[in-house]
Amino acid sequence: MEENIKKRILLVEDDTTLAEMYEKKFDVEGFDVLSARDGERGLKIALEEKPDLILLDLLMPKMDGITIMKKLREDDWGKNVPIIILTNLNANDKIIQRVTEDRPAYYLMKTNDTPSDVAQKIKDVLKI
Amino acid sequence: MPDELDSQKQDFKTLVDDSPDIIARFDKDLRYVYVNKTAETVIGLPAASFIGKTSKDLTPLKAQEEYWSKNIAQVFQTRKETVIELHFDTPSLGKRYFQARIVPEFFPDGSIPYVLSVAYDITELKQYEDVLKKRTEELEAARARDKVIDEIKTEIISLTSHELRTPLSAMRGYISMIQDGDYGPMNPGLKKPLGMVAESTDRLIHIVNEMLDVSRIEAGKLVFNLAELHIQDLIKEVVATLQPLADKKQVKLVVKESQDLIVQADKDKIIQVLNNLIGNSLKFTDAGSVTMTVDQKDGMIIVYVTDTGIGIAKEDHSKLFGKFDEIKLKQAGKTAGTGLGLYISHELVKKLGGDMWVEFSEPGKGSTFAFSLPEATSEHARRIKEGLQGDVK
Repeated sequence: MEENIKKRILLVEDDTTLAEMYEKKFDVEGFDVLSARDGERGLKIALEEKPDLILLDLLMPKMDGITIMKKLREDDWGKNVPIIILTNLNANDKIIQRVTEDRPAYYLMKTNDTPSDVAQKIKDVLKI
Repeated sequence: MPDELDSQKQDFKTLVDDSPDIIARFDKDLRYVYVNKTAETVIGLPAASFIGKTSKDLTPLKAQEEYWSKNIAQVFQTRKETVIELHFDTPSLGKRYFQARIVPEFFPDGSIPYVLSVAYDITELKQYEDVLKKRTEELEAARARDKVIDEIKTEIISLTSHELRTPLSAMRGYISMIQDGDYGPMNPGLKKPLGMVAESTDRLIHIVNEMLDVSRIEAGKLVFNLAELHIQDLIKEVVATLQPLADKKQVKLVVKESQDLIVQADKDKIIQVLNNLIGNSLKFTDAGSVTMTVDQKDGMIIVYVTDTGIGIAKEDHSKLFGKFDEIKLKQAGKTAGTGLGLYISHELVKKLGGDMWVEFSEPGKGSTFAFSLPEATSEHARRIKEGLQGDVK
């Protein structure tokens, strides 16, 4: 991927170990990675930087992923930004009912999908 | 004749006196007109001291006098018999309980000059009842305690499992990235041990996921996405994912062709059940085949998974669907799971309106496990859908 067409993705993940892992993987895959360690900061960066795609954890301090999605979908730019949920909350949990309304592109489980799988899903969504 | 009558009267009196029950007769003013010998013995007063008195006048009976008199009066009034329980202190046996049947004595003109009370000692029965009541209360308290402990246990398992998933995700992710070469070329000597770490991590994730499934089943927090599913397609899908493992073990996976049968179920959960059953068969089969057959009976679709593996002794069949039973059934170092797989699968198909059982299994002769699911168009499927309404997304 050429430098000048690098896609910018925002990773909102509160666990540092996991965040650093994904940052590394997305960097290796040629993405420009923005990162936030809590929900509030994630929403702020999203609205200011307008990334091409957002990877969103659900359980986070200050603001949870569901609230961020709701707020983003109320925004003119945010209503169409592709969002991939990356969580350890099982997709069977009733929480998914609330999530679905805000149209995430994927609901990925951190234990099931390797960083490489996640990178592939990002490429699928961004049609790279 | 009078002699004969007297003799009959005497016989009758002896019979009544010797009865183990307390027999007493009352007039309209609730006064005793007769008591038998048992009354004398039990209450501890000579018969003569009863006659012409009410219970109010008799010390041992005072405590329940009001209740007793009220019931006798009621029989006179309603002209209907009644049965009551009462107790009093006896001089020789302490506190005793009695059940008394109080019946009106009708004269030919329809009047009721007397009522008759026949009371028998139910103290022992009462004692049994008391013991039973106490035991029932203890049992209920223990059950309530167990329920609370179970809920706490489920909550702890759920929380712990969620917490475990974060570091496990990191382990799995970093290992895969090292294997992918994201941190530079890997020392070839590390390939095998890292592969083993990866495998162990996957196993650990599997265990944590199973524990979460169990906690969800037990807390009633499972969510079902009911759909009409082509069962044969699902079997083929699962077989395709397990094919590499079968190839590695040189075990044949065979899906018997059948007509297109449609079940009502949750796709992910049935894939989980099939993975578990076919995976188990593969695990315990070192040569031969694992064959999947689908059949249809009385509105249910039945899936059979037959293997040529080691088989299970009959006495162990009943343990198979319990929690952690694989641990009890350790078969020559073959277990790698928690033993929760069959328990979870069984619970899932039951929730979906089906069942799971061992069709056949014998050591050395292989096993056939079976499960059923409602046919999509069946009345049973409709009822299950209604029943799961709260749990269906």
